Amino acid sequence: MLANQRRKQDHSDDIAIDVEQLSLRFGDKVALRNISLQIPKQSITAIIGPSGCGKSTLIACFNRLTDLNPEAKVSGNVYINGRNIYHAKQNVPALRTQVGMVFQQPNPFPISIYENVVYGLRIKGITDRRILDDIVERSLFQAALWDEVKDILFQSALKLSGGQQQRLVIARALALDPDILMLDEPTSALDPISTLMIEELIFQLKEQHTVIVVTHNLQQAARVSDQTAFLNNGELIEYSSTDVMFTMPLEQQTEAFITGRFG
Amino acid sequence: MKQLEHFLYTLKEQSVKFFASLAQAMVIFALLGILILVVGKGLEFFWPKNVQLVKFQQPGVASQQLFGYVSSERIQIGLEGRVWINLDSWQRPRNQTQILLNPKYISDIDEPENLARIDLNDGRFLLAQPIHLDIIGEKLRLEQLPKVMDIVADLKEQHTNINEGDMLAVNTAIASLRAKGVAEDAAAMQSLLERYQSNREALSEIERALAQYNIAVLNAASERQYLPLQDVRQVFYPNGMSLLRKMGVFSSNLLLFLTEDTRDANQSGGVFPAIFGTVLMVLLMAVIVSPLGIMAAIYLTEYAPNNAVVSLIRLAVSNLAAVPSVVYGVFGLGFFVYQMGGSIDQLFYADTLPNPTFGTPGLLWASLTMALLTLPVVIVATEEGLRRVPESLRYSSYALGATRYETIRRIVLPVASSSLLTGIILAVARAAGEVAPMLMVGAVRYAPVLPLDSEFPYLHLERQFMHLGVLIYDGAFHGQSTQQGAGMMFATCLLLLLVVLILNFIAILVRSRLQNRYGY
Repeated sequence: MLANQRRKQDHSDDIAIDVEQLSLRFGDKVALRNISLQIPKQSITAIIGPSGCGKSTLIACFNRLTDLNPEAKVSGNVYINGRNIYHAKQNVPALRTQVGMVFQQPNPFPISIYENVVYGLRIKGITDRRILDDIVERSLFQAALWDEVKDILFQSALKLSGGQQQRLVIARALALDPDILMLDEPTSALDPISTLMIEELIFQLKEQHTVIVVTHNLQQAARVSDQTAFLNNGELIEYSSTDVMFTMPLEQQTEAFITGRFG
Repeated sequence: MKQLEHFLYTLKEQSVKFFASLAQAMVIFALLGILILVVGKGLEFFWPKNVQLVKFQQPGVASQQLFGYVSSERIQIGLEGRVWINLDSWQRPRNQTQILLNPKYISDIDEPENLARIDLNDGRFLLAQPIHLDIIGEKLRLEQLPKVMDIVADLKEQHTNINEGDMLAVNTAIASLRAKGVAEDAAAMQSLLERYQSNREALSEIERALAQYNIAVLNAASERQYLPLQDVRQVFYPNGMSLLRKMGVFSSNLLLFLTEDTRDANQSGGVFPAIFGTVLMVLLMAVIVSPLGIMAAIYLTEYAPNNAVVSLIRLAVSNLAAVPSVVYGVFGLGFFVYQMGGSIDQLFYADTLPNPTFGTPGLLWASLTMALLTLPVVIVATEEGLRRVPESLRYSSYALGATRYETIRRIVLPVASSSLLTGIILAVARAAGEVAPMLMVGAVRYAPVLPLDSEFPYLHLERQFMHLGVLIYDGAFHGQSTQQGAGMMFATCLLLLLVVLILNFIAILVRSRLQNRYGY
């Protein structure tokens, strides 16, 4: 069985995530069906598709957040940097520090801004104040939030606006310096200006991170991503470079979706 | 026809509204009634009421007069009826504290200004007309009383100092020498005995001096009597007092009530041991129940799978809250006191058997029983709080590499802390007021010592203790025979109500503060 294999034999260093025949069931309901795709490093991948098609479920497989649902049954393999994350010996908390995730609703912890950013570091056991201070500044700077919050670092994060909260959550994920950052519809709860800021941020993150963006917004996918995956009913319909996808899609369904005829 | 229908419809609507508001009004009246009764009667206990002189002549008996508190204010002298008069400790025929008179026989009720209430140190009180002070054979004017009382207090303090200081040391030393078998005529023994003698003499001298400080009073039968001032706590004239002076007496009574031991079979004095016992029992209970209840709730919400067994456990927990408290008392007696206490005695205190140490009701068993009783309260409140923590926070924490334990410790528990504290305080408020189980597992009407003192091991978990609720229960039985006992009951009741209200108020405050802080 493939699941016993710890390393992928023919691994290429350019590939961040390698998905092999991934299927997922919640009880009797099939959520993902036989998905295979390769996500290159230092690129932005958009995942699009109609509601309930399995976009969020797919990225939840990449940091094994699906483990939290006792009904979820995964088959197939996901290799991250060549290592099978569904291997029995996989350290799941360590995987999650390597594969960061940002959710749809801004959800900072009800503690100070500073403590929010260092949360993952404290879990890792880092206590040196200087290291923490440095990382806080770097992460907030990367998330384009530093100038706005540098004087109120020790105030509650709940006092920030929605857009600021979402950037804080991104900074919180960046503090762990993950290889891969997954954003699940990061702008759906935000106003247009905050959305623009987050999009610029995503674009900059590409230089050091592999970014995956789940989005409802086709323009957003077209604007920011290098390649796009289109999911429907738990199946990967089409996966190609964004330019190709939005100009001459191969599949009938993709065309229907991006021209707005369904979804 | 149409109009009739409309009329009936309106009638139905209006009558529902009417009865609903009537029910609401009754609820408010009931609450107000409780509040007014408890607060009124409770505070009345401390208030220096006016004292009456009653002259009466029953058929076939010579004219009499007595001092007392006439219980009804609107009696019509000379007419048929009944009036209760509360008597002091001197004029109690056949040990009755009250006398029932027919107003037909009463010729006069007066409130003379020179009628004093004399509170004694043992908790009793006397009503009399003071004449003069009698100090070392000399007559002194009554105005000197405060000064003289100070002198008496000084003498009494000297007496206690010797008694509990050197005298105690000498007695202990003599006892230890005797235990070692040292001869009575040994030098060390001799010097100790001499010290004992000189102390004894000093004490007798003080006692003789104290006996010379008296107050001369006229009792109701106009007989002169002498009262040793060392037995007197305070003398005041309620009838001629200004409101301000009355308030002074009121607050001194209140202070005494809160800080002193009970006197006169729980009918007067203070309730300090009961406050202390209640607080200590409740604190111990909180220490036991909080970790247990919170852990159980964490298991149920965070770890337990969603299956029939867990649902059954949840059902059992909520049903546990509905078990009558007396059943917990029986369980505490049967399991904690007899089983566990009995086993502890056999294992560790076998040398003192058959006298039980832990095998009798006591503080530890009372706290354990109350912990069991309040466990559902804590579990339910904590579970509710934990479930209110948004799932998204948990997911964010997991996504940052936290394990389930780290997520609970760093995110879930702090966010739910307001509910946790509320649960504990509600449990404390519940435990403070329970009486039935307390009577079975450790609270008593009178405990000679506190369960906490300077003697090793300081906290005596096996001791019995006093409890406010039990004191109220006790007062209710005195209340049938004496006004004083009933007054004590109402005052204690007010105190208990205050304790519980304050706890609830703290719960609300803490909750809102933490909610502000964590936003949930």
